[in-house]
Amino acid sequence: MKKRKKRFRTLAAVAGILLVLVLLTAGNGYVYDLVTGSVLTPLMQTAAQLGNSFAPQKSMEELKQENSRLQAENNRLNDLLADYDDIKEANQELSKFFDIKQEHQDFVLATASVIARDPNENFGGFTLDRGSVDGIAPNMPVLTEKGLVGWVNSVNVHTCKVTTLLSPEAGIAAADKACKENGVITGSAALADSGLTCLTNIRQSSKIAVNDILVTAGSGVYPANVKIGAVRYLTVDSYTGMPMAVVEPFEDAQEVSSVVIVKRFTGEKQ
Amino acid sequence: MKLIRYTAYAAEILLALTIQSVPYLLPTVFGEKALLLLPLALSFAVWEEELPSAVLGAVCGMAADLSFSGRVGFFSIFFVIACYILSRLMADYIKTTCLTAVLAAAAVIVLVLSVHCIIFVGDTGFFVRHYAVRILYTLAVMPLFYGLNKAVMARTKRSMV
Repeated sequence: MKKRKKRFRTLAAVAGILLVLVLLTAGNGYVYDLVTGSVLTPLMQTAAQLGNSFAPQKSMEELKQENSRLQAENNRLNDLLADYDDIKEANQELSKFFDIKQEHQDFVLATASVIARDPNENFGGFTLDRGSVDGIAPNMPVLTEKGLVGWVNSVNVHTCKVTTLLSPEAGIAAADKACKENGVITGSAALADSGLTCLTNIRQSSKIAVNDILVTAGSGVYPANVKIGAVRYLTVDSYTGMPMAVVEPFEDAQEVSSVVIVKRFTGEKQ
Repeated sequence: MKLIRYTAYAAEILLALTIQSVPYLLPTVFGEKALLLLPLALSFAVWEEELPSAVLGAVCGMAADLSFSGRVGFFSIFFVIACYILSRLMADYIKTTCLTAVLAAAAVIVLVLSVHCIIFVGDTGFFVRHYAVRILYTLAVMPLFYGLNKAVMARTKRSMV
């Protein structure tokens, strides 16, 4: 009798606990998840790690083959990536000059890269990788998407030398877009240090002002309306006493690495 | 062995021309690069006789001219005269040491680049801002070329014995 009562009490206790759990977890499993997750999850994770060490392993031969295959694939992808970078860079360079072509549709252009800068070159001049075999001739204008850089001074079979706007040899007919005044762009040793050039041969009563944009006047040697630079300040030429505008070219000739040579344009003097 | 020596000289001239001309290959000092062909030509003159020195000076000078203006002239003439005189001095009047070579080179480099500034620029301020640095940088590489061509001469002459 006593034993029966004891068994009954045990059964009732277990049923009661189960009932409590059913009531607690009814509706959502939050409590259940909280309890089981806190206890069971770390145990399961540890067991899984142990289990992985017993997983079937690849043989040394299989691993070597897989390694070779992955290395070959990696090399192929690296080559594609290198080609991609080259193509992307070429595309970026050419897209800059596309704007020049859009703006001046009569231009026949040749792209070129700077391959040498002589240490004795004082005014930013450089050598390009285009020459007479590419149809390049002396006095052809050289520009970038920002504006005029200079002109081809001398030509070899495969290379040509460019003299920039900063050189005292420059003599480029220019016009002020705002007031339509004309002048001549010529460099000077004193201004070349600061990357500046000057507009000379302007009238005493000139209306040229600071920040005016200068473009080529279209003399037949240079095409018209190619951007040159902006007027930085106005001064007087110490030798002639005539007014002079100091100009900051839009393109820094010391830093260019690729340019465009204008081989032909409408209105070119033959 | 002379063939080997002159082949070495030719390689040095090509290397110097390439290094001084290609952008970003030679470090700049205050925006200036050394004119490597000048101390190279003078280092040839220190060790060679008058005629080979003059010829090597002419070759270096032509390379410098073609790189600078595309026309042979200024550097060719100066290099030939300077190399001939230096070779003569080193052979007959001055003991050949690194110090004497550098001092002699200093005189030539200052003279050549000063005349270059007068002819092609004509601005005193430009000389101070640019040419002074260029002169010092060019002179600084002279000991290197002196040692290099001393080794070349020693090796090729030893082989002849």
